[in-house]
Amino acid sequence: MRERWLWFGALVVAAVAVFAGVRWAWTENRLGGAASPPQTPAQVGVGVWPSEASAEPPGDDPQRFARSTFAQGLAQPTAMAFGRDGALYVTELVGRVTVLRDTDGDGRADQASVFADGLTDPLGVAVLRPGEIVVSQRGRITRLRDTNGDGAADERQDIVTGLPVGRHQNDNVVVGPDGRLYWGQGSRSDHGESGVVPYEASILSANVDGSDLKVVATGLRNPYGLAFDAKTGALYATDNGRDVPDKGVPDELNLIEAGGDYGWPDCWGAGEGTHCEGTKLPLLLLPPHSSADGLAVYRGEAFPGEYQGAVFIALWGANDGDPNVGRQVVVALPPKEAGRPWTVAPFATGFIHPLAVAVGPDGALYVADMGRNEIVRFAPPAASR
Amino acid sequence: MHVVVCIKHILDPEMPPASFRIAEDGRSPVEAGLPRAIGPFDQNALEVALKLKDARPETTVTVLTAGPAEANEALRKALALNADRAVRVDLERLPGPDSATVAALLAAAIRRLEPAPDLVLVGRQSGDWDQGVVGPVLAEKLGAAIVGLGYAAEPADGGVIITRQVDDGIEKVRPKRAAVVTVTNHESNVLRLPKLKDVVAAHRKPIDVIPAAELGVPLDEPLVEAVSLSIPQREAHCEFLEGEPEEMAAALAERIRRWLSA
Repeated sequence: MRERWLWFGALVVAAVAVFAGVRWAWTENRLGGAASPPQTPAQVGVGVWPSEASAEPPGDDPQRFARSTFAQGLAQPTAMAFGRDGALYVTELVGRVTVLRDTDGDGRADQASVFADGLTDPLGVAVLRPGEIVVSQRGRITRLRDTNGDGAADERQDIVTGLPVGRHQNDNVVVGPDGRLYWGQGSRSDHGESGVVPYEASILSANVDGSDLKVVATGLRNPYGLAFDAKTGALYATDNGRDVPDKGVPDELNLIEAGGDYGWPDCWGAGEGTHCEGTKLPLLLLPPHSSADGLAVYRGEAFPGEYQGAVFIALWGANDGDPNVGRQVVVALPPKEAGRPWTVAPFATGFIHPLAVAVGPDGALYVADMGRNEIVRFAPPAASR
Repeated sequence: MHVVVCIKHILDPEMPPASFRIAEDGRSPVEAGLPRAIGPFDQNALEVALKLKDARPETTVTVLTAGPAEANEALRKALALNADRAVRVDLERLPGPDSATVAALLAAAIRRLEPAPDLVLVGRQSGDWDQGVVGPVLAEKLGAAIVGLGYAAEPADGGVIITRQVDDGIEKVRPKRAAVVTVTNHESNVLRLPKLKDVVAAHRKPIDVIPAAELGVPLDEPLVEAVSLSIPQREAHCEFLEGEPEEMAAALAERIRRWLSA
């Protein structure tokens, strides 16, 4: 009898251990945030788009948000990041990093200086501390530092080199809550037609000195935008869907889990294509060819409470030539009840090619429009100054 | 087929009117820091060329401009849209020369291109000074045929057919030799939008730069020069009439009589 109870006890302990192990795995393979079960296709959100939306996008309604020009005259801005001192570092496709400052707090940049130039196709920037940044430029991650306080970088070090480039390259870079760098690494091809090499189509991570390069997640064709939720530590990434077949492959918003395979090159959307077994589903489907790019998680205090934890996404747009696709900023909202899908809707229109999004220390939302070479600021009217 | 498209990098016509200011010389606009774009009719010309390339992928499209290094932005936009080659006649001095001189520079640059172009497309007017001079002068300098106000082109029997809008219909013409076509806007030739990856890739494509001084065109002998530039002044007055309704109505009627008789 005692022996039977011992077996039963051992089984209970084993079951608890297995359950705890599963829970641990859920917790550990996420990049911060509360544990959650895997997505099901029914839980993948699908957006409501301008042709279907009945309401005016909130960012276009001056009663709800004041829209103003923060800076003009940039040279094809690709990415933005605020430093702790409120300076906004902007990468520009001409190979430059410009620092913008609003010294009088009127919501418009009144100082602009070149922090660095001579870079090649910089698509991402992260601020380590005021005067020290990391730039994601074609095939390499570069650390730049202003050691003499003159406002320009005088120390430059490539900390990661040899990253795969082709059709896409390394994209946005961010600093994680663990102090490591994370960046999206685009694919060399559309759908793997030139093979797949290590590190392409993935989320990569390394220490800020470039050591300990790791693959965090795979199967992401071009994860241009990357952002951590400052409250939960969750890591979100956009992904541009493949061009073949030319209809119906959506862009995506993904919650990145360590070790996750997100399907590229064969699987896309809510389980479409082939070889989908074991792959992760996206949180949201975004319009095909909308080119979902830069994103930011809202944890500021200026916007209404409904935007806490919302993900703002820039849709470059018109990647299939249709000018009515994308070319706006959308807002993705987490579900109010567990197990429900995320929702997404237009937030602001009137851009030519919005590409980067950032939340400022003032709680305003900043959008870089490459088509107009300007940065637009959104703030509630009371906070718009 | 080799198609050359002449484009001009101008102040963005869609920028807020309040941003437009006159420089201290009183005859040119302030340009520093303001948004720029490819001239609107040049955009139409570029789209006509790209459609020819869509129809016949072996078509080579060269974009050509005359301007300072900032004009590379316009050329790179064209490269991002699948133009094959970009050439800039380097004009560092602003304001630039008059339109006839620009046309002479473009013609000299076109003569250097190999193979010689079969078709040269240019916007019907630049979109900033809007003189409409470059196209006809270019044709004259090149000894080419000219077709005015075309809006579409299609390949045909080794040549090209140009579609024009005329007063009472649509006309199609076939140039019998290399031709310059001035292009007007039409719903069919709105310039397409680039993909982000192509915009990034365009920054790695070369731009051939030809110093203007190498082209043997006198730059200091303008046939026309701007004497002055001004912004129309609008005067607005607002007067609030006060008093009883009958008094205000009488005062209003009196003012309307005065305005009508003025």
